[in-house]
Amino acid sequence: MLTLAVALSSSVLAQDTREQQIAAAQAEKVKTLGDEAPSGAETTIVRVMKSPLLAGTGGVFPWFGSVYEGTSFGFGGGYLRRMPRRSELVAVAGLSINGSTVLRGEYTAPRLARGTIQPFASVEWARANGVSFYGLGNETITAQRTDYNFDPLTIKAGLGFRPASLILLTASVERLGFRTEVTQPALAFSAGPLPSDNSSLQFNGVRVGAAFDTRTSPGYSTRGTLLRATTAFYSETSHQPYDFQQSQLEAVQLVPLVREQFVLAFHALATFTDGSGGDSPPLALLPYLGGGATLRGFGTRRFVDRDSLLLTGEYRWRPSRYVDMALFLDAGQVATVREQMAWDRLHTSWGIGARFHGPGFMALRLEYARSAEGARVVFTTGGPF
Amino acid sequence: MPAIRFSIRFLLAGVLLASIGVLSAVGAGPTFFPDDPIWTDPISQDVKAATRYEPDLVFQTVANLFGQPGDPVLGQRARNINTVDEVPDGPFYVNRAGKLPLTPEIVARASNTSDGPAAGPWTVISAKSDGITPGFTIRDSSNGLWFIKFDPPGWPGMATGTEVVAAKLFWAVGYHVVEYHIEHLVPSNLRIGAEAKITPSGEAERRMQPSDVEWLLSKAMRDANGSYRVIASRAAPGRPVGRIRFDGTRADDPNDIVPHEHHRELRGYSVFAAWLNHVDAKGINSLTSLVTENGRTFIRQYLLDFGSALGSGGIGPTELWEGSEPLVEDGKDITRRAVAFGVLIPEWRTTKFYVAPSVGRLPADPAHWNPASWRPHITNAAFRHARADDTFWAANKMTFITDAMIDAAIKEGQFNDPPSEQMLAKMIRARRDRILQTYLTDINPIVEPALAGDGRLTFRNAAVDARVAAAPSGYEASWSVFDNATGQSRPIGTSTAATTSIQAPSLPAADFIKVDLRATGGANEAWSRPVSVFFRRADGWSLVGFDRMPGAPAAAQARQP
Repeated sequence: MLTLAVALSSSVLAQDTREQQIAAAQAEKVKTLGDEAPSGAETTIVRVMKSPLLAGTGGVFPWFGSVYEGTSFGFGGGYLRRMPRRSELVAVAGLSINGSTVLRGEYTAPRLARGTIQPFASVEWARANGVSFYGLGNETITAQRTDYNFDPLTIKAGLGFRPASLILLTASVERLGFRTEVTQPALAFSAGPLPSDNSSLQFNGVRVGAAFDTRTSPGYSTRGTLLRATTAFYSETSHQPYDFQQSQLEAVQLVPLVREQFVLAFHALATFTDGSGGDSPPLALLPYLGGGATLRGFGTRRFVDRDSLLLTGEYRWRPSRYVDMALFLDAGQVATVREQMAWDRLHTSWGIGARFHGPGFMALRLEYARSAEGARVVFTTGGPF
Repeated sequence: MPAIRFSIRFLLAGVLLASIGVLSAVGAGPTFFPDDPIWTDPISQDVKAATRYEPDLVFQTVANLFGQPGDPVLGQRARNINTVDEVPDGPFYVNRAGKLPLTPEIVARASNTSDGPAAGPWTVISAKSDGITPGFTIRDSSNGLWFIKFDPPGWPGMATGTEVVAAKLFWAVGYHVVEYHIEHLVPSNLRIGAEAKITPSGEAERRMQPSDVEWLLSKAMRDANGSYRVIASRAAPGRPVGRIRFDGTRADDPNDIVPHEHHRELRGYSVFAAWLNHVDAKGINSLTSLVTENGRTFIRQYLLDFGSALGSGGIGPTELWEGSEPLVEDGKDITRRAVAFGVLIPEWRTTKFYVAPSVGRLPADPAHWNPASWRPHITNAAFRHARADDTFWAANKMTFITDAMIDAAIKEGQFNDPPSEQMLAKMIRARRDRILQTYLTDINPIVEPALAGDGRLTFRNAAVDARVAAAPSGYEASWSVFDNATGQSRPIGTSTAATTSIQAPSLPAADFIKVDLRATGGANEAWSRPVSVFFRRADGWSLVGFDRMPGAPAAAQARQP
C-alpha cells in the first residue's frame, strides 16, 4: 500500500512506524550525499550556448553562408565585438567548397540623434571562383557557358537615417575594384569588356536609397509591405569608358491568412543599368537572373543584361512555428533596353520548398525547383526575398 | 554523463522495486504502520552542505523537448503519498484546499504576512538587464529584500496583476508561494546602492548609474503620473540553493528520497498549471531555499514567476499558440501539416479571443476548453508521469476553490478594468469546471470513505458532488478481512446500495477490513473499477488505506502531458 520510496536496508525494515521507516531511509541517504551540480551534458550545452554565435555576445564564432552567389556552400570563422550604444565590429573569413574565399569587416558605429542615425563602414574582399556567364541577353543557351574568377574589393561607408519607424533612408560612398580572369573558354561574348578581358577596374560609387518597410523583420516575416528604391552612380577612376548608373525598384507584399496559417507572398524586383554618355557597364556588375533567390529553376546567373525584371509569387503554409513550406512560381527576363521587355519573354520556374526559421531570421532554405532547363535544388541560408 | 547517471538510478530503482516484491511475498513487514496515515513528511536530517546550482534553461528545454529525463517507466503510482492516497505536508506542498477552512479572505491574503515593502526609499541592489522587461532587486527602508518587476509598455496591469492572481490560487491549492504585492514605484524614490552593479549588453560589469535606471525604466509601462506599477515579491526565507527539479532527487538533501517525477504534487502541478494557463511552469520559475526552522535545517521548494499565465505572456499578451502547443511542436504533427499543404489548421489559429491591455489575451469561450490538450512550453518528467489518480487528486483539490475565492484572487490583481476582470473570472471558473468534468469523471471518483461502528460505510462521489456527472444507479462493496502482516485478504461478503451509504455484512473481529468499492451504472466505465479502502479497528473504524487504482497495469494508466 504505502508507496513512499525507501532505501532497502536492515535498519529500514526493522522500523516500527512509518516515520521511523522514512527516517531510516533518510539516514541511509546521508551516506551517499553529493553535490548538486550540472551534468556533463548540461555543462557542454551551456558552453555552446554561451558562444558568440548563439549568445550574441562578443568573441569568435563559426560562420556558414555564401562566399559569393553560385560558389557553393561556404564556412569559416568570425569575430564579433559588441560595443556601447549598439555599436559593433564584425570580422568574417570564409571559404567555399569550390575554393572561393571572402574576408569581410563591418563596423556599425554608435547611433546618433536619439538612435535615428546609424553610421556604418565595411570592407570586403572576395575571391569568387568559377562564376558563370552565359552571354548577354534573354535568349542565351547553356552551351555558351563560360566561367571566370572574380575578386572584388569593396570599401564602403555610409549612414542609415530612420525618420520614422517604418522608413529608412540610406546613403553611402564606396570604392570598388575588381579583376576578372576567364577560366573556361569564352564562346560567345558579344558585348562588354569583361569578363572577356583580364584587366582591372576601379570605381568610385555613390548610392542612395529609401525604403518603406512594415514587415516585422527583414530576415523573416509573415506580414507586411516593403517598398524600396535605390540608385547608384559608379565612376571608373582611370577614366576608362565604364561609368554607369544602376537603379533598383523592389516591392514585397506578404498577405497572412487564417492567423498566418497561410501567407501569400509577392515579390517584384526591377533593375535598370545605364552607361553614362555611351559608356558600357561592366558585365560582372550587370543584373542577372537565375539562382537561389531569383529564377530558382535555372543556374546561377543564367541570364545577364543591363535590365532585369523578376516577379515571384509564393503560397506559403506553416506546419510549425519554425518551419514554412512554400509553392513558388518565378518569372523573369533580362533586356538590353527596357522597351524589349514583354510578357511573352518571361522565363518561368516553379517549385516547392521548406524553410527553417526563427522569429526574425531565416536559418535554412531547402527548395526543389524546375524550369525548362531542368531541375535544381536550392540549399541556402537566406530567404528568397 | 547524464545517461550513465540515469541508468544507475534506474538500476537502483529496479532493484528496490524487485526487492519490495520479494519482501512482500515473504511477509517481511506490515502494510500499515501504527502511525499511518502520516500527514507530514518526516524531516529527520539537517541539510548541511547544500550547494547552489542553477539549472540551465536551454539544457532543461532541450532535455525535455528531445529527451525524457527521469524514470522511463510510466504508469507507476506516486510514491510520496501517504497510505490514504494523499500528499503529506512537506517541502513542496501543504494541504490547504480541502483541509483548511479556506475563505475568500484567506485566499486573498495567501502567503502575505506584510503590507509590502516598507515606506521610504528603495535601494537598488542589482538590476535585470538581459531580459526584455526590466527588473530590480531592492532593499526597502526596513532592510527587507524584494524583487521588483514591471508591466510591459502598452499592457498596464497585465503581467503584475496576473502574477498576483496566479500566486494566490497556487497558494490556495497548496504550493509554497512567496509574498506578492502590487506597488507603485516613483522613480525619485529609488536609490542606487553603493554596491549595485549592472552588465549592459556588450559591456563589462560596472557600477550602476542613474542613466541605467532610466534606461531600464524606459522599457516598462509608465503611468500617466510618471510612476510605475510594479509587483514586489519578497525574497523567500532562507538561502537560495537552486530550482525545483522535476526528476530525480537533490544529491545534497538527505531528506529527499523520492524521485521528484514520482511526487504526486509535482505530477498534479500539470493540472493546476493548465487551469491557470501557466505555460512557463518549469524549473527556472521556482526556487529551492535552504531554511532553518525549529532547529532543523532543510530544503523548501517554492513556485515563482507567474507572469506568463492566464492571458499574460509576460512581455505582451499570451501568444495565440501558448497552452495549445509546446515550444516545439510534435514532429508527427509538423510532418502531417507539411504534407497537407496547410489544410490541417491548428485549432488555436481559429479560436476567438478576448484581448484587453489589462489582462492580455483570453479565450473568448473557455467553456469548451479541453484540459487534456493543454500543453506547457516544455513538459517535464513529473508531468509525463501523471496518471489518472494524480490528475483526479488535483481536480479534487480544485473542487474546494469556490467562485468567491477566484473573485477574491482577481480583486487582488487590481486590474482596474471590471469587464476584463469578469472575463478573467469567467475563464478561471470555466477552466476549473472543465478540469472537474474531465478528471473527476475519468476514474472511480469515490472519496472520503468512513466506516461507522455499526458497519455502515459512507462516502462521497466527488464527480456527482461537483455536479459534473449524474449519480450512478448504485454502488457495490466487496468486503474482506485484511491481514496487515501478510497483505492477504479473505472475502467475507458483498453489499450494495443505491446511495453513498452501504451497510456492511456482519464484520468479524478483525483488526483490518478491506472494502473494494465501485459504482454501478455510472457515467464512465472506469467507475466500475473498484477503489480499495482499508479500515483499522481503533475505537471504532478509522481509514488507514486507500488506493484509487488498485492493481493497475504498470504502464496502461500512463498519460502523456
